[in-house]
Amino acid sequence: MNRYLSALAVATICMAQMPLVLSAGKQPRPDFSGVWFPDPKASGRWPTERPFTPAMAAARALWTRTYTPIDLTRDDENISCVPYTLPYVMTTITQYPFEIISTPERIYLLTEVFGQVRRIDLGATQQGDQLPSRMGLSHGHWEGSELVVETTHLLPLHVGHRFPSSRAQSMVERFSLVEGGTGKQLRVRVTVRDPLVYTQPIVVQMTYKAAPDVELGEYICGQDLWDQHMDGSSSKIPWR
Amino acid sequence: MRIKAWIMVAALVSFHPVHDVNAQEAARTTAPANFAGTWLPDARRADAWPKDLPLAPVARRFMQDFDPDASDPTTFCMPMGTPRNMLQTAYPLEIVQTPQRLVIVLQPNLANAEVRRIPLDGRELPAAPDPSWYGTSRGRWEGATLRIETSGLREDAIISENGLPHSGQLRVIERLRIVNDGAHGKVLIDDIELHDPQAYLEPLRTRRYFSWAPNARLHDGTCVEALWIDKLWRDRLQEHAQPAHGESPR
Repeated sequence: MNRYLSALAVATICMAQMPLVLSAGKQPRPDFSGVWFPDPKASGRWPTERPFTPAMAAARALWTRTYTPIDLTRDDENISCVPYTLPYVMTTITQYPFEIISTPERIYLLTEVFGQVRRIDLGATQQGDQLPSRMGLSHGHWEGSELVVETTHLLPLHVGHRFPSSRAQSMVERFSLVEGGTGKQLRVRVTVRDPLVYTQPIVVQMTYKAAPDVELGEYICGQDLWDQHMDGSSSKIPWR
Repeated sequence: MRIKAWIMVAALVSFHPVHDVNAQEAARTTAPANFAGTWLPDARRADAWPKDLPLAPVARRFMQDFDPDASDPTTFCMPMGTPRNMLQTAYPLEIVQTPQRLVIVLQPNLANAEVRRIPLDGRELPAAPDPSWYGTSRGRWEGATLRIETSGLREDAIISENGLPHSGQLRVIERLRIVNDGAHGKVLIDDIELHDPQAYLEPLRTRRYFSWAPNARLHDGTCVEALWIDKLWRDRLQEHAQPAHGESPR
């Protein structure tokens, strides 16, 4: 009886310790939560000469011939308050921060500019419709201490756009944390593939600086126009 | 030896949490609710505003003269703002919850997602927060119910599409809770009080229901794109295309 109890006790101890033994071999998963600013000095850029496919180059040449002169102050969609689309949400160097909120099932990336919301599912792929959108459908998995995020179903942008894209576009991002001399950094290596637009993948390495004391503000792109409109409105705000 | 073995077993057992049935029951009834996930507004169950609202004369006049084409922010792709985004949204909302914060994401078909950030860490609401569309909010738990107080709301936002106004003094108090019932399943209830002595003779109270919709997806707004395409892009394309096709510019 004594022997059985001792064996039971030892077995129980072993079982209790098993999760610790199993987890000891895993690398810690970093928590990307917090507010981040793009670091222009430490970040890459899109190539100046992009490797367009011959068909896309011809389509863009035709578009340019047809619609030149384009006036970017009037025709640029982002200046006209149309929000960014991935991958530019990640690769555009802006003066605005974004915030990451991590939950066990999903990582949220909230941008200040245009007030956009990106979702990265970590578990089963989210059900529901599969319509293309500005943020697409993103799914992440861990490879050691790196979060690898694959994104599809991105909204295609027309051939005359500064950054045209097709429905075949996909992107892979590798998120990692680095403790550098200038503090905590988030690094994201963005690889964009779009065989209908580019002959080869485009890789942009982004670095973001932690900004723990910053709170995201409201960014309302049309605020100035609205304020001007209301100043001349017949329907006056009673308390002004 | 037998004693040693029993001591070992007892010690092992003591490493595991003691399950107190009463404590578990208490936790079920008083622990903070988990609102995380997507919810669909149930407009059929929403409280209707009474016909004769207790409005101050200045607010009543504003409502009588209200022209939505001229003064409804959403006509211009501007935000609904708080609390209209909770009262009138026809689209799913998503709640992100951590122990320190609740984030409510609404994505009406306007320019932006409307993101309400509600700290739960006990910090005080500032006395006079800067005016904004979504306001400055603080949340605290009352058992399983979350009480949210919001102030600092822009006075050019309105409460409803027929022009119910509020002043900069508006204070919104919401109580969010989850109920489960046989007819509607898991439901999020938002009891909303609007306190605004400049605009209302007494606080306005109403209730909104949101049904649990785990597969609902929030979609990009297309309001700005529609404006851009209709009022800018199409004009520019015509203007540029006509010379290219040998036609004279307008």
